[in-house]
Amino acid sequence: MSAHEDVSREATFGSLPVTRQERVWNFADFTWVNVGLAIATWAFVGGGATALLVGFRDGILAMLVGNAIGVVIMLLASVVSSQRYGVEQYTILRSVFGLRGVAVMVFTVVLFTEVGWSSLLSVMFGRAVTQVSNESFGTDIAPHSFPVTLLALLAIVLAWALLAKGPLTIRFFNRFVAPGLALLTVGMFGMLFLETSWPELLAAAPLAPFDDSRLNFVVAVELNLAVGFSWWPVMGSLARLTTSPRAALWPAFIGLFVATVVAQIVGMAAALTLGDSDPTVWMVPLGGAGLGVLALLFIAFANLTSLASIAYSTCLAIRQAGGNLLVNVRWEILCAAFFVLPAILAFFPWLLYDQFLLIATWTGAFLSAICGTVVADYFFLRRQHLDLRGIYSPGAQSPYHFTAGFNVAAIVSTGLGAATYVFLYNPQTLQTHEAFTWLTASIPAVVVAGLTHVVLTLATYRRVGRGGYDQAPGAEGARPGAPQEASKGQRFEAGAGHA
Amino acid sequence: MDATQSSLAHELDRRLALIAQEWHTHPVPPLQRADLLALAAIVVVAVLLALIVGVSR
Repeated sequence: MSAHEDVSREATFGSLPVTRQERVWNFADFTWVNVGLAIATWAFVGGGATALLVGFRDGILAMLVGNAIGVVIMLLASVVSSQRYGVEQYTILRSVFGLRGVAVMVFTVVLFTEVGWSSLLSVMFGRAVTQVSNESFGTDIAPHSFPVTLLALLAIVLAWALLAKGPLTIRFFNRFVAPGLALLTVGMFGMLFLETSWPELLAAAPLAPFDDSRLNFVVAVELNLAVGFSWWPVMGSLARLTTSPRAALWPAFIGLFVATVVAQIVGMAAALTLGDSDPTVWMVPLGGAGLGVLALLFIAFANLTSLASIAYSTCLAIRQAGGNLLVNVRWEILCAAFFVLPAILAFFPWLLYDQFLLIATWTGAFLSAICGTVVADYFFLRRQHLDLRGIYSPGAQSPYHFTAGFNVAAIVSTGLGAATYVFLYNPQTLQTHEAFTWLTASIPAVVVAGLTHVVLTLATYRRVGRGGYDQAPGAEGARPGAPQEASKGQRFEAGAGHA
Repeated sequence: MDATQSSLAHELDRRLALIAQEWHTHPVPPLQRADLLALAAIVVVAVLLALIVGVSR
């Protein structure tokens, strides 16, 4: 199959459920996939951002606490249902938000958060290459100068070319990039601990903390919660290819939690000892002129594959959420359209790159609320049971049609969850409510979104028998006496229609 | 319905039929209670750790 055929097929048929034969990733395979995903360049930036707020010991604690909670909730909201039904995330979300409700989520939350991450990666490419030029050729290119913009635009064009070649090309490059980044992380870890003593590291002061030490710790936890939630847009599509629920859940946890925390610790330790949170700045002082330059070049290249991977999953989501409107748009054109906003942002290289906390916490504000709604819907209201044929049924034939294609309860709940987050911690103004220092903002957002969704659904859709909630085991309208699997099989046969 | 949509609908029907058969012979189980409890334990430990550090400030 040529690369073009491959991408066309994947973009067109990617929303269809996978069969047993197509589930190819066992526990070990999926662990490596997730380790490769986690040790990306943004982990170093995340570690550096943590170093702005807290010292080494508190930073490690904040990373462990934030990532553990964020990753667990994110996995429950993405990996579990996609793995069970073999359906990619944005299709299975029809059962939560409705067919048109998913489009609302994709064209607002997902699109804008992924545009933010893409902008960050493209500017990081520009800064890494200009730093190489400064070190190797004696140039003096400033981090906010026009050459950084030009190089960020070049990164976008290269990522687009990679993306147009299809997922096989991205996977091919990732085979080198993921182990390379793992080696780089281990190497930097060794260098850091050779050059810096343990007491020095523990004594290093945070780079730009607030006056209140508890607030610093909680904001660091909040930042790392957001890092955990930020995997949500890509995880479901990967997990559908695993062989069993355990082969999906635990490798994802090991990869995203353990590998992220290790890479973040390297970023934080380097930032604390070298005095700058930006990895493109501390890489050369840490590795020396030779190794540092090589590491920066590799980071620049790794950013291209990360950029292409993010854009790939987002463009698939856009195509699937766009329905008939986008099904005939050429893949290359859709990808180019996605890159327009990151290209505009490249002209303002300081806007997002220097504001990692801002991007991460806005991402956390919306994704924590979405995760709360999804977990409540799948685990509490549906008891892990969906009507697979119904997910693909068109319009009113689908049990997930809700109100004209929108699950109003889920959309309102998600909005309330995000509002709770902003009330407790405003990522834009950094204003915090007193309760934030005890509760964080993400966890209340998850709880408020989930509880609101349960209450609204029970009071509305469930009461009038809409939304397929009466099919959950134990619900009034569920088929009596049937064991879970037999009931599922019957439901397949009972469903009608297709997309 | 154009050729792409028609082939998409055909492929979907084929897959749904095949998956329905597979579920009869090899059903994919829901996430087990033990896994859920393990995840809950991770969250509880993380929350306790955060509270201990928070109180000590």
